[in-house]
Amino acid sequence: MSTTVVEAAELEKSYLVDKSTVASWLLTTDHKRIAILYLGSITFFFFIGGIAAAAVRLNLLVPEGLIPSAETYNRLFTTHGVIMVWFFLVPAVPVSLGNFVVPLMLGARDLAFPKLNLISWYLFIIGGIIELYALFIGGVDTGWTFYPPMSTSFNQSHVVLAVIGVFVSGFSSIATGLNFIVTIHRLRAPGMTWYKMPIFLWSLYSTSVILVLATPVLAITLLLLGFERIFRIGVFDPAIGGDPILFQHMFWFYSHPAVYIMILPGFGVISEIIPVFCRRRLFGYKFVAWCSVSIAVISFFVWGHHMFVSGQSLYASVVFSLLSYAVAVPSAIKVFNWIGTMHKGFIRFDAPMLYALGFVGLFTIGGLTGLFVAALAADVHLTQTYFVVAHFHYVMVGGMVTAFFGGLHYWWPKITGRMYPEMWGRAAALIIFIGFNVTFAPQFLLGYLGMPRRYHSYPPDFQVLNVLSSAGATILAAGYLLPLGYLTWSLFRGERAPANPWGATGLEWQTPSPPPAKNFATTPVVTEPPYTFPPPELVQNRV
Amino acid sequence: MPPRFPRLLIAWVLLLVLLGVEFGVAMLSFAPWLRVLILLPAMAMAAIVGIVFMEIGRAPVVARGFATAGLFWLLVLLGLGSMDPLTRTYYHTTVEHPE
Ligand SMILES: [Cu+2]
Repeated sequence: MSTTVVEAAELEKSYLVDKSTVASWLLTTDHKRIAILYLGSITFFFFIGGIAAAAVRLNLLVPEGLIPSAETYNRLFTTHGVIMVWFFLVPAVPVSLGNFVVPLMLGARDLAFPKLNLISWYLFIIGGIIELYALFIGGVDTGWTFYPPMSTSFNQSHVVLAVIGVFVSGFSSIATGLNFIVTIHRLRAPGMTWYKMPIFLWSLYSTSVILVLATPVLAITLLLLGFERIFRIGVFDPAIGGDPILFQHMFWFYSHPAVYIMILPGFGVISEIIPVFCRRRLFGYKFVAWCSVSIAVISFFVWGHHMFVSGQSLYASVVFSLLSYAVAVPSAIKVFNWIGTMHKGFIRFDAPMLYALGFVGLFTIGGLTGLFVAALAADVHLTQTYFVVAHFHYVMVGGMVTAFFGGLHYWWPKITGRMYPEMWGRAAALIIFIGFNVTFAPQFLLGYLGMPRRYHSYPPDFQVLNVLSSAGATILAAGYLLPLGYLTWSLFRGERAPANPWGATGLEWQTPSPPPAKNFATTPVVTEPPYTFPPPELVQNRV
Repeated sequence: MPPRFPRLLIAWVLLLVLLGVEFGVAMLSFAPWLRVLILLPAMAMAAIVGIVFMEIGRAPVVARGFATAGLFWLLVLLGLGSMDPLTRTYYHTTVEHPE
């Protein structure tokens, strides 16, 4: 089936050159072009957030802080948090890689609501512009969590504008989630049953459920925050009859599941890469699929673990602490399944696989240290320290950003029709892995020793580890800049990519690279489950 | 425009009116046992969304499933969320604001 589909489709023009006016891009409803628009936007925000992070690490080189004003420092780490969370991590994989490959993997022509897809990009951009404007005119210094009464009553910075930016971009999240859910329900190719879907689709489906159910709660919370700041209604500020802990409940009811909005798509990417580069069926397919769903559900039961020292009732804390352990189970199952897939596999160390291996290690460290901070008694010591910072960066950056880069390299030939230089890809994966660990491993020690987060200065004893961390950040920055260079180079000079450079099995590889505007010349028919790889002996002979 | 558009428009205006009502009643002070009435406009809004926008009556099973899941999620938010205020012993005291 595959060869005839490819040949027939090659007669059509690729989506990249189908039409070439600016309007044909800005008004496109083609999911592949919207994915490119998104890819450009989130890359931009990634570097904005990265510059803020660089300034933070620069400040912490010396105990008294290199940046003269502590308030400027506060604004910098808030910028870093707000931009990275809402304008990079939450959208990253779904809107770029997801947008591009979901219809291709399903054997569909587009998402269920192509216009809604375009609208969601515009909402994202409008939210982003508002956010950038707020930062440009002075920024926010509350931290990305906007806790009241600090944010509502005691703060002179541009809280309302920043909150509106996040609020608007939230609608983009909801639209994307809705689009994916309906698409996966309605647009599967003939023969594509739920258990024949690649795991990436299960992951994005679970992510979308969280996006649709959790984001409205954030929207309402931020709206109330804005109302309280402007009209002084007493919802959160105790001085006018509110309860500040109520804000934390509502904020974390969104923001803990949001952690899984960020990491579940990463799980999906890794579940695609590992079978391909090990030439093995995914071990325990159904377990991996249902673990995504159960993570999406359980993630809503644990939010109180962010509030152990907030003044929340001790009984509630105990329950939330126990529930938090439950969500670790499906995540751990996935890690074991990836390792089970690699076992006795014919492993090839191409760049996407290097990122995937990095992901498994780094995410495991991030996940295991999550158990430390989920333990109520230990968290009283560790909360608000660099231990927490190191923990969630291992999950978000070591995990999610690494998965994003892995997926970007994996699908790059499909998206652009060009191969990137393989050696550069491997080098960047290695540099990122080393730079990441040098940056964040010392922060575990710093936090355990008691260095609080969000402080502009620190006791001189902590300097050695801080310098080490900042030095690592330099390596990490170099690692992130490298792909920007060689991927851009490959757009013009890269080798032409074949339809299926990795010998992978998904439907997205059965259409030319880059795909034609309508994706498939004829609607594909699915007869086999995903990841049906030949046994390793055969592969060895072929190579 | 699809024929159902005016219906949707009316429902949307009704939602905004109910939102205004909700905002208004939140400002009034009720006896404790009457406070539950504040929920009425909110419930009406949820009903309108379910009946007019989601067309729950005619929707396929999947859509009904999602609507039920939405209610379940609300239950989680309110149920697990009220665990804290129901057992909390320490409340923040009023602080004075700087000018
Ligand atoms: Cu959490």
